[in-house]
Amino acid sequence: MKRRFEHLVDEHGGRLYQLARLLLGRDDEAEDVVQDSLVKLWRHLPGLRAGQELAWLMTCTRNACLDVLRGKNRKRALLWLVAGDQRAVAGDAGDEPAPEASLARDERVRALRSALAAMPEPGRSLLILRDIQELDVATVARTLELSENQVKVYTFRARRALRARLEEKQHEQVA
Amino acid sequence: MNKSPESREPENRDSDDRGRKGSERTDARFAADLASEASLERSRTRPDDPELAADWDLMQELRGLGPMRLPAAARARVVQVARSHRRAPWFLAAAAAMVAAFVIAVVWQAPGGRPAPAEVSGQALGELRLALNTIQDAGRRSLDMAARGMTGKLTVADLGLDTLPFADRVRPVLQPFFEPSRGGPNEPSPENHPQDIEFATEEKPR
Repeated sequence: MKRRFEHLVDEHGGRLYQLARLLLGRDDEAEDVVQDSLVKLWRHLPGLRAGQELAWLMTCTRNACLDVLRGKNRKRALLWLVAGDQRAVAGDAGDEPAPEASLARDERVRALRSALAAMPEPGRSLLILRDIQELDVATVARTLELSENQVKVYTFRARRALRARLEEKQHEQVA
Repeated sequence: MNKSPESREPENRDSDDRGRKGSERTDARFAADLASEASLERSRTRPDDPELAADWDLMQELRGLGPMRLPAAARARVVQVARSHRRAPWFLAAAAAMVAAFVIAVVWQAPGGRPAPAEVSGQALGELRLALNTIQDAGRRSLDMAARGMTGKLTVADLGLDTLPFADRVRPVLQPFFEPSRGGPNEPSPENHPQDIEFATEEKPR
């Protein structure tokens, strides 16, 4: 069981952390939430069927994140998100080809994350799980308790809404 | 004033129509969005339709954001915490012992093997005795009535008791009714009712 658990931590830990990071906007809170979810996984692992773990973990992590968000001032969370993005992007800077391109990309990534953080649920989770993490429709449907067609349609609509937000922000900056 | 059902009917029909049209519009929009998403999922290249092309660009951009890795320190903490939550060996041993005891108990009580001996409770036996004695009393009363009706007309010999089974046991019961010297059958005394014909000889239940 220990081997199975460590395999699951290595396989899904990054996804969980990314989901929590994008939902909460803070590294420390994301780490705490993911740690709690994985410890819960350890306790429930004997009763979980193989192949069901990812949906279970995603549901657990998302619910924990939404609980944290409900108890927080959303405005303060957004401020932390912007500050946290700077640190996160700095950590990935080794992949960037040139400082100018990196700067432009950083701006775009920040704008994307900011717009994503302002999205309502379940659109935000759908975009994270379907577009960023590229999870299959069935797993996302199980995680969010939606039908597979609902997952597809709501993802499409959420993407359109995110596009509208980004375009609106661009227009504001130009003006 | 209350409106009559008729007066409400056209409104209901209108609202039903509106609801149906709205639902159809919603269904049509749902189907259109589903088809658009399906085409986005399928397409390997940028679609020609400008709206879908913009959606496709954003989808690719979002895909470029992931994936992330769980920080090594967080992973180490998780594994350490999980190890500290491992079940103690004594707990597993106790659980195994309980399961074993349960299995033994179930096997021990399982049906099969020797059949359990039939047991009749004291109450059931008492009820049976009461029933048999009741039959006996009723039979005796019937016999009394018949004997009263036939007194002086028949003799014991006329009854042909010898041809009946258990004649030796029936004869002493009937004999007093045909012997006027012992008080007659109209006043049967306890002596006139020897307990020869008995299905049960033990005492009646309380």
